[in-house]
Amino acid sequence: MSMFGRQLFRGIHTVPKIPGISQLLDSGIPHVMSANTFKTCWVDQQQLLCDKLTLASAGTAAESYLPFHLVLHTAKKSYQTNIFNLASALHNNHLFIENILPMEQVTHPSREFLQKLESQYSMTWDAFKDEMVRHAEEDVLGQGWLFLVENDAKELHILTVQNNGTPYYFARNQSFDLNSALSLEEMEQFVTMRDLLAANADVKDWTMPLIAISLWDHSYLNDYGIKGRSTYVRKCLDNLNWSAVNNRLFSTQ
Amino acid sequence: MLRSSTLKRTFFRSYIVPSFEHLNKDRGLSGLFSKEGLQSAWFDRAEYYTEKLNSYTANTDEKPLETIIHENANISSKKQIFNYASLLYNLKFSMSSLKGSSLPLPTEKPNRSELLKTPELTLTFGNEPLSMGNERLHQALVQSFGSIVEFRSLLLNSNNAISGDGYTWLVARQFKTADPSAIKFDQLFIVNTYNAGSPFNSNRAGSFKHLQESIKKKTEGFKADKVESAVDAVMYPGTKYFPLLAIDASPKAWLPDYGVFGKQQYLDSVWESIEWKVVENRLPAFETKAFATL
Amino acid sequence: MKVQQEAVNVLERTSAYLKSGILKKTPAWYNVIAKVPPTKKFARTPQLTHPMNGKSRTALPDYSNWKANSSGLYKTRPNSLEKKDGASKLYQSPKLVYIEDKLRKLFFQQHPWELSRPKILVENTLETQEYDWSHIQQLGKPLDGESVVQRTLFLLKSGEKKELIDAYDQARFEFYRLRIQQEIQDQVAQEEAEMFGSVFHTTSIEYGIAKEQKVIDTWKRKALQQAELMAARASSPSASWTNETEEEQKPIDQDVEEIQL
Repeated sequence: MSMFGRQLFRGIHTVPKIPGISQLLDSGIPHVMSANTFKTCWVDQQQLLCDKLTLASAGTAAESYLPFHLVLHTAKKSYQTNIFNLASALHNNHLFIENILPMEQVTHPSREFLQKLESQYSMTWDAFKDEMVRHAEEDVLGQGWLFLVENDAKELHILTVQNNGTPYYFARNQSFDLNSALSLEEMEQFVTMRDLLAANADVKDWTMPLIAISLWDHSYLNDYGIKGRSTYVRKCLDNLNWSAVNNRLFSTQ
Repeated sequence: MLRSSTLKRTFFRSYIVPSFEHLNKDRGLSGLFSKEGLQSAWFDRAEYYTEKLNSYTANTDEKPLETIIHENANISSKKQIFNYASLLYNLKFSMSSLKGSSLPLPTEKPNRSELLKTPELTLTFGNEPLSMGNERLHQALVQSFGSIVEFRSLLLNSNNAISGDGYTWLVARQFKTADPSAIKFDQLFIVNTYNAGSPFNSNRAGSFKHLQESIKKKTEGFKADKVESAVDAVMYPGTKYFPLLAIDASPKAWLPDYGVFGKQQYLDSVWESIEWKVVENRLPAFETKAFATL
Repeated sequence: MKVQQEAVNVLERTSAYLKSGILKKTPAWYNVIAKVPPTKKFARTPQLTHPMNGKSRTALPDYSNWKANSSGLYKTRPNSLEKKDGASKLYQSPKLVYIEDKLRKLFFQQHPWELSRPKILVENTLETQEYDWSHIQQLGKPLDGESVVQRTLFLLKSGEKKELIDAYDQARFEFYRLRIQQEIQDQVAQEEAEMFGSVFHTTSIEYGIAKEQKVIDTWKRKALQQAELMAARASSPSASWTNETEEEQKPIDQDVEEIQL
């Protein structure tokens, strides 16, 4: 381990500390993932991404940014996609672990959240969960992320993301899979997005993620198997850490 | 191997899970996959993709996978059929050329230090087309890539760079000649496909343009993108790619045996496990004269 | 001339002031200067041995093995010029020669484009001392020419390679393999992102051209200003100095802003 002794050096990304890590490494996240999978999904994967990001960004102008800032900073630069991928994956994975961390007491969706869901979709949270599971199943064929986001109009939307896309900037959501056929609606969205950017490159996106679920193999393959991804997504949604999610929701108070 | 037997087809119009003689549920693939690793990399996926494909193609005529891929590549309503047919085809293709090797499997999963490991500078490797007696393939590779080392680093680095699911292919480029019956191949290329992407590019020709024109009909004043139509025009007519070898990049293949830090090691093992004979048998007759590059 | 001792006696004088009570508070620098007092030796002494290799700098070349020149004469002892030169050199500070510098020079001569990579110059760390060069990649340090130099020295010191050139070649080829990997990684990442629906409104080339154009525009504006100024001076030399300072205040701020991007 001596070669990693200098953790405080500038430009080196380190895995964020999360509360109760030793407990999690012993017993995993109850009802969601085993101890082994937790180690793969958080400790190892996050470390891999940190090290790769450090290797890719050290000594460049990007070295002193946090992953979140790197995502925004590199999102528009096609030649920095590698750094974007790593930073975005780091950030998304952190969001994910944060909102499935077990709490001692049971947490519930806030009244505000439920009301919003009711008024926008006329749906209960339980019914909405089915919808989210369905979206993950249908839209993401390979690796990716499932988000529930709040846009600048404070509306809730389900956002599925391929590979390392980010919810923060619409041109890098990576919601389309151009490897197979696009539908006309998808193509229309895609073209609209491009025209919008061509007209004004600085167009802003104020979307914020509320719920993030990892659809990457390392977070479910070991526990649920290849066919079990939807079961896993449901388990995640059933066992959310609502104190984290409620905090992310926009509040006028 | 590809489809169910004719006998079965009269009763069920469905695909059965493909199988290979060299892949055994009880053994793993020596030097590449343990028993559990092979279960995840091949058996579970083959079963899952077949199931999915059957669920989407229920009550239709059973066709070879290639045909499904060709017919449905541009039809968005049949996207899922294309996806699973293509995934199954790609997976089968990548597994068909793996024979295993005599090298031992890693006893311990690689850790962080793997990332900083100094690259090996060897110029020859244990399993090479020439040393395995595949002279014709060796010639074709050297002609297209310069040397086996260059070919190897391009092939493995291309795969290593894929962050999600996908395959790295060795393909032969086919070009049209004056005589339409004579199909000629001039050069080999390395191509990446992602998710369910297919190495058969020809059927996707102009799909972007086509969709844009449909939109144009709907909305007035939309200008078709000049660059893309130009790319379509140059890239697609006359050239087709013919796959020879595929390498799987999905974590489903390497995560169980090699762990989060082990993709490079997995790829090194894959190289040692390639059955070059199979690849050479797929290699079409080659036009030796150097063809103008695109 | 009397040697000026005032400045270097500051410690003694301050001590005396403190003792006698003229100074009430000990100055902040006092302990530091007491630990590392200024030198009082002003006479230049000859450097008889070279500090890098410990060799004598006074020894004149040994001519015993010299071959005869074209006219069949042997050189047996140094001439007066050589003797004089040797003596005056003793008072010059000796040149410091590092093998690293030679390697750096060679590497960047062979790979001039490596110099075009942007580099951060923050001198808050001694770059190379703390890394373990048993591998060429380092966390926190970009892969560059310096990595090759340090890795070469490691290979030599560890005895893995006997010859400098072999060590350098090995380090260089390791560097190439990693560069190839990085480049493919960047290309594939971009292709993959586009295949998953990422939209970039400019390509990297367009981005580069835009940046370049910005610099050219700034330069052009400045050049025009300068030309006008010069024309004005030429036409009425006496009046040209009055308004200049006010005029130039504004554009300087704008330029700074542009360059920072």
